[in-house]
Amino acid sequence: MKLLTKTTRFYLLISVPIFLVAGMIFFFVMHYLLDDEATEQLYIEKQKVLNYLAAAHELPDLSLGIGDEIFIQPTQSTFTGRLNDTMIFVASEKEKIPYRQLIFPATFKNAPYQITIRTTLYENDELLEVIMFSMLTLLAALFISLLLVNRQLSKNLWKPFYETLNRLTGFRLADTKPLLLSNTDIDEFAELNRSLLQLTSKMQRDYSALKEFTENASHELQTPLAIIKSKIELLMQSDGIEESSANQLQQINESISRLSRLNQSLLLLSKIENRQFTNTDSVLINSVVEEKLLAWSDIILHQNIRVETSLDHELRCNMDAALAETLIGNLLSNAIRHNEGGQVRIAIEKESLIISNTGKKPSVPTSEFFHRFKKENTGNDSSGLGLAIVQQICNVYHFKIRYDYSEGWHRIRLDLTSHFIPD
Amino acid sequence: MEAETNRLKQFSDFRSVKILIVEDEKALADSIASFFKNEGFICEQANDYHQAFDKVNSFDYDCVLLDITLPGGNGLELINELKENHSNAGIIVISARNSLDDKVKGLDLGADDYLTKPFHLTELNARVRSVIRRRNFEGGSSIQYNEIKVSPEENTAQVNEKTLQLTRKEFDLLLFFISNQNRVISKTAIADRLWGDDIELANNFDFIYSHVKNLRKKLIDAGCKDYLQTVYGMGYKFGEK
Repeated sequence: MKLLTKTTRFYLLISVPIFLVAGMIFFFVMHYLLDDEATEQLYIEKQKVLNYLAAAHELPDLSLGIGDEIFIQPTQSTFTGRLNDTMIFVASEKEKIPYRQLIFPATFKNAPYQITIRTTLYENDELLEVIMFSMLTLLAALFISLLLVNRQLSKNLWKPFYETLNRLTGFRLADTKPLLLSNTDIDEFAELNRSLLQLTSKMQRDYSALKEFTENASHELQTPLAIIKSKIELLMQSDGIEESSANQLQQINESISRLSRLNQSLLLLSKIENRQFTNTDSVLINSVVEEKLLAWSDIILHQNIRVETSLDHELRCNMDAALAETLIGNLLSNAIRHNEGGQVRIAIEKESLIISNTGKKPSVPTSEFFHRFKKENTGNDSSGLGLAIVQQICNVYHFKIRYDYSEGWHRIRLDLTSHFIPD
Repeated sequence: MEAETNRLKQFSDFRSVKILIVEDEKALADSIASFFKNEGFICEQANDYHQAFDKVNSFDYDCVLLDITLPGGNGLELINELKENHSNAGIIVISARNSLDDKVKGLDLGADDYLTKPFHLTELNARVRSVIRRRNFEGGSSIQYNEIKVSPEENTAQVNEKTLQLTRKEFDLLLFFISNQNRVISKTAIADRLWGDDIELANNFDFIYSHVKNLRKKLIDAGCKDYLQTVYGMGYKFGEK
């Protein structure tokens, strides 16, 4: 959930009940005040009537009673005054209307009278309605404007934060550029930016140191290997080497070559991991496959491997050309190696390259073949890094790869759907 | 001894070849020097940038072997120095870095070839000879060894003026052998030359054996003497017995 949504939601959650409760309290207070006012008015009028009767010589003519209605009737019984609400039919309105009436006894010229003063509550209700309506409108306007102000305020306040977040998302460890953050006058965000800057520059330093170390270590290894190799070759040139020594020399020579290749593979792997291949070319997968097959045609012939291809469908992929060659080379070499007298099938279907080869049932789960140094039979010349490199390349470009085995066939399916957007 | 004379006779173009080895690893530089002295070349060494800079500015060389990472400076800058001096020397960069960028940069600056450590001395020898040949004869040269004539630029080989039908790999192999006469050429060196890293694909060296066998057969069928000898346990040797 977005921060702004969250604050808005929080604001709504708090303010809606507050506004509701406040509205209700206001309603009841208003209602009570108006009600009280009506009663008070009746008592004031009662006093006026009593004062009038005390001073008057005759009863007032109330037949044209406008407004509050006063009825003066002679009475026999004695009674105490009372206040009550009642519904009375009004002809002009053609309906019953609520009234409050105060009935009290009075004496005029020594005769007892019953006086009734009525006031309509209908106007009060209407007044309350109008007041409530305008109040609610005001409240709603206040509510909405507060909401908008709140949102805008949040937006402005969090702007530096979102900017920082944006820059951070675009930050690449492999870049040499430091993380650029804009200045802000909010202390907390300034602090955050400072910390982030420190953190990322330290990360970058460490990363480049590690990268440099890996590369340097790898390169430094090659020099002693070169020395050993050259010395062995000089030894080989000397006369009178016995057969057994010759054999050993050759084995040392082979091991050095293997060590050097292993070193190169590890270096390549770390370079891929470090995203050091940044070129993007439109690579025609078909031609990479065909070139590899041509280059290895003598090996394939010598190993007596039957290769079937169905490469009619053109498959293009946006990636580094060198990595494409490594990717496909390693996959093909995986299918060709240790497959003497076997078969290899290479097919391109839509966005996928499918390479199958005959072979023994694997003793470990096929997914583990993508792990480093995982190989079916130890002691052979392969480095055990070929498929790990494949996996790493797939990770970089978000390609999907599957390794299956069924009924004597190893099958690798590589989905080259290029949804990769280079940085 | 006879073989030695033969080599010097056949490679008379190379008799006074002068090579500068710019390499900070003394042990490696010594190996290279020792190998090339045996080829009849004159070798000089420079173990850091300043030594190399002085030598490049003071003497003429036919070929300079250049390590990139040197104490005191970058080997690639020496290429510029050589170019400014209008030197005719062939330049082979020898680097521990197997990165395409360095390779491209080196070749762009005007290096003739690029070799990654570790390398076979026989491979280096073949490259040096190729560079010098191209420099001295502007590409039009061929190598004559008794009845065999190899023209690297045309990719053709002849025995007694009769052109051989060789595959690309067999031709490469013949060129490699003829560049390393009377040298023990290890199977690893052949494998690396012909297939590079792809040799991991072939399970064993039988594969190389079959290529050598085919080449030998084609040579003999064309009326060539059998110059190819198996050096037990190690590899092959090309030359008169």
